[in-house]
Amino acid sequence: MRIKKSLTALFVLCLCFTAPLCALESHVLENGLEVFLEENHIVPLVTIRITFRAGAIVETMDLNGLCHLYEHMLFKGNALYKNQEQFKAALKRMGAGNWNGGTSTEFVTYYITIPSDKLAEGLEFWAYAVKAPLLDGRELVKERQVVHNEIAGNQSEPHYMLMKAEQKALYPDYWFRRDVGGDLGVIDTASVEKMEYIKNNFYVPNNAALFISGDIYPEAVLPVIKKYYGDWQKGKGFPEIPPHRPLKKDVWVAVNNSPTKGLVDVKFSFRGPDAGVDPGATYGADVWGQVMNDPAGTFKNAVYKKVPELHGGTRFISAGYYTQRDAGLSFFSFKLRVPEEKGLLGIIERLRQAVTDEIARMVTRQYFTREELSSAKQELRNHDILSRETSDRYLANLSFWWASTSTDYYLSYLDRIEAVSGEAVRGYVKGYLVNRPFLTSVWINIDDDAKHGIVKTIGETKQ
Amino acid sequence: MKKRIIAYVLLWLPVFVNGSMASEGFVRENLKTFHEFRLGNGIPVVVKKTGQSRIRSVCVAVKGGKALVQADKAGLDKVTAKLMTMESKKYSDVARRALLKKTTATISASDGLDYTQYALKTIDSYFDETFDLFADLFINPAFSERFFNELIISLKSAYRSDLTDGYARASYAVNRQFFAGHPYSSYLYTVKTLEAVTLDDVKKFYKDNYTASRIIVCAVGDFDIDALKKKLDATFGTIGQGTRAEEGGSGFALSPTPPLSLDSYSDLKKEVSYVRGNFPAPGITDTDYWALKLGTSIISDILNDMVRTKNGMAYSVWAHLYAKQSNYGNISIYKTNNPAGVIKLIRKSIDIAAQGRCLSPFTGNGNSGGYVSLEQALDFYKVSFSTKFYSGLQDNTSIALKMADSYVHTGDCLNYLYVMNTVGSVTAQDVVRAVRSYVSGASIYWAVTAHPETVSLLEKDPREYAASAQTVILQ
Repeated sequence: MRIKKSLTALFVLCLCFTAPLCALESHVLENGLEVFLEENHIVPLVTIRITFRAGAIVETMDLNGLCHLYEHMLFKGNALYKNQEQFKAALKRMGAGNWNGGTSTEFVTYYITIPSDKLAEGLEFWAYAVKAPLLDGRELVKERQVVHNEIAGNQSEPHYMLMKAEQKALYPDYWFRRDVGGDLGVIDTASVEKMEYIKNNFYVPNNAALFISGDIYPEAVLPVIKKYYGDWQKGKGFPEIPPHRPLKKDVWVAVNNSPTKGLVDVKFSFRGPDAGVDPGATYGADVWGQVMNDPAGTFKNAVYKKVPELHGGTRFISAGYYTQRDAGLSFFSFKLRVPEEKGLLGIIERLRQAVTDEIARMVTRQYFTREELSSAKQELRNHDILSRETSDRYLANLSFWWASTSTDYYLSYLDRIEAVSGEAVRGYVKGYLVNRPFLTSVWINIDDDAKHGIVKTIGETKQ
Repeated sequence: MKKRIIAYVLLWLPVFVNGSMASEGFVRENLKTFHEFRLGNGIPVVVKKTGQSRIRSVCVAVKGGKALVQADKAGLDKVTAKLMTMESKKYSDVARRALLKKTTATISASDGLDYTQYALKTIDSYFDETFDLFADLFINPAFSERFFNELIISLKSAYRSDLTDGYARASYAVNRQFFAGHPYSSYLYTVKTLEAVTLDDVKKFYKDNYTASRIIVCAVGDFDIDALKKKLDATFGTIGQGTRAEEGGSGFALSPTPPLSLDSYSDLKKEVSYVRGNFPAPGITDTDYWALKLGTSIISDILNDMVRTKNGMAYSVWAHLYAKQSNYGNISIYKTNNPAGVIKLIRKSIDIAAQGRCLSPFTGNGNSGGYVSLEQALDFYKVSFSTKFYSGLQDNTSIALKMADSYVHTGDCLNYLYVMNTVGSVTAQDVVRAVRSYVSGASIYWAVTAHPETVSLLEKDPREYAASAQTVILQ
């Protein structure tokens, strides 16, 4: 079997000469498991990544944080490796260099990098972990404490308060679907039954994708994948989730625990587009985000002209769109110098006005020039080239897009971007920015706030 | 059971033997891709020509590092390096940002303990434009008053942000004691030292230290070697000679009985603490270095098993060995609810490694687990090490940085190619000797960052860590 080539042969083969990334192959097993294979012989290693459409997005308030806890429990043993010691011993025997798991708002992912002649063992290893985890009660009690420590540490960070306030303001009904770490009370009382619930509902092949990259030969790998993952029982798949309501009116949050004295962070956040609801608008949003960040462009210079109190001129102005299946977000962020005299709130109001004025102008034909749109598209193509430099990074990127959009979305992304017209960008602006209510968030140092009373004033006048 | 273990090791041995052979092939074939030359002013250039991607990377290393900066002006080298990525005589800040955005290239500067590095990462089709920017920023930095003032504000903000991070605080607390009296102490900048830096200091620092005698250029990508040489000669080749760079680092001035450093941070939740310990270590050219590198990996595994797997006492725990001129390592506990208890497990873990034992890789094959002798398991650690090593050689920027680092710390850019050969020859006895000499026998400098109530308990009874405790004020 070609996959069993010796390390020696592979080292010589892979040595640094022209070896462009090969094309991506994708397959779907009968049970719904999507498989992506990318062949690249630069080093004699293979990375196996398995990703689930899970994380905070699938949680209810009483499950908030349990996808993350479950992510940890997968390392605690399964039908083949009966406890964490055996699990880790197997990793050592495979020569694993990098391995870990991670939970985000819209995915849970696990990966391992091993010598390529251990590929079959690696595939078997993850197959048992995802299909037959032990979920032992005593281990769960220990891991609850580990996760508690992790989350409590995160909650001690100043930015946590701002993030939490923003989540509740932007997504008042389902704010917990943005809180990956979750609720300490839910984590501290998590039961084996709840872990089983997570497993049976979300850890199913038709809600998962397997990504394999590196020193592989796809035709040899596919039968091994079928052997270990073909019997994985199908489940319900990704659940129906109620959409977040659009904001009904402008909302404000202000938090006064910023460590940065003399500078205040101001951000304007607009809901949407959600890739799960309006994927077509996301391409225009991505091109828009590129144009917005041109340091010599219309937007940054117009805003700076109206608000010279911005720290660093146009350097700390940023705008963009963050693709998410459930909670896409368009944002503008700024750093303002805190004035010696009172009047900070007035500057923030002026900044808001400057941004909303610019948004209104964005629907005119001349706002986005042909050259700007063309350059933005080229930049997105460049990002794709950069993301392909190493196959494991490329597949990590693909894994994100698979979870938050779809395979077709990712594979046709550059063609769709190429087709984005000025009209499409203006369509996105009209649909998601113009006259839309938005969140204004202000993060200020406590000493600066004592002088300017931002938190108090916003609390009294902006709610 | 022992027979079974031996059989298992034998099963694996050919793989590692294969790995060693492969390493020789790796070195031999890689050597064919390197091109070395000197610029007119003597700056050495090493180019690795590879077409494995469309990315081109150029790294310029400037030797000297923190030894060039006085502790009361700590941050001066960082300010200089950052300003050199902002604007030059030919490129305004806006023009720089516009070009980088258009080309999706990055130009970065990083001030390290032993050297400062500048790096360009660009797609091949933009190389002419982006290299011109990169070179002009380096050779003709503008050092304007406006950007200097803004940068000082930004760095002070960044420092204050660091002080809201429990692990960053513990690191700062331990480094302050460990680096005291050593040139590395100027790594620890504060608001006060940043405020002491003037723009004239920056200009003088640049003039005195950004000289040909301190510089090396490493490049990786599908270059036309002659064309690249011409470009480099016309730019970096015009830099003045300057004084000869100092070689080698000095030792740390350490106490045999260091006190426990306690950092009280009231914004932390009571159940979360951070622990970090530093210990001096052999340099990368020392024969013990790679043995200790494997040793810290073995200690990490035992720590993880004891602290996290068996006791659920921390979110993460590790031992790490750096590769600096004055070298050191650390042991860190990230987010623990029991800093008083965790230290006992750390000591126990180190003792196990010092006895020549490690976590069994054979658990789960009819064996009950626990610990085995290092002779039985060392090859598995070597294979894991090789996986990490080759993982780090997949992109051109990583390779260029590795070449520059190799040059600064060993005098030869190509030395990194031989790492697997060296690691392959390390024996279990070497590892045990290194762990005993540098970790279990060392006076480790410890620091704990925790809620005031936890600190108060440790202050009253620090004996598990040290004979005495001292409070550290970070501001």
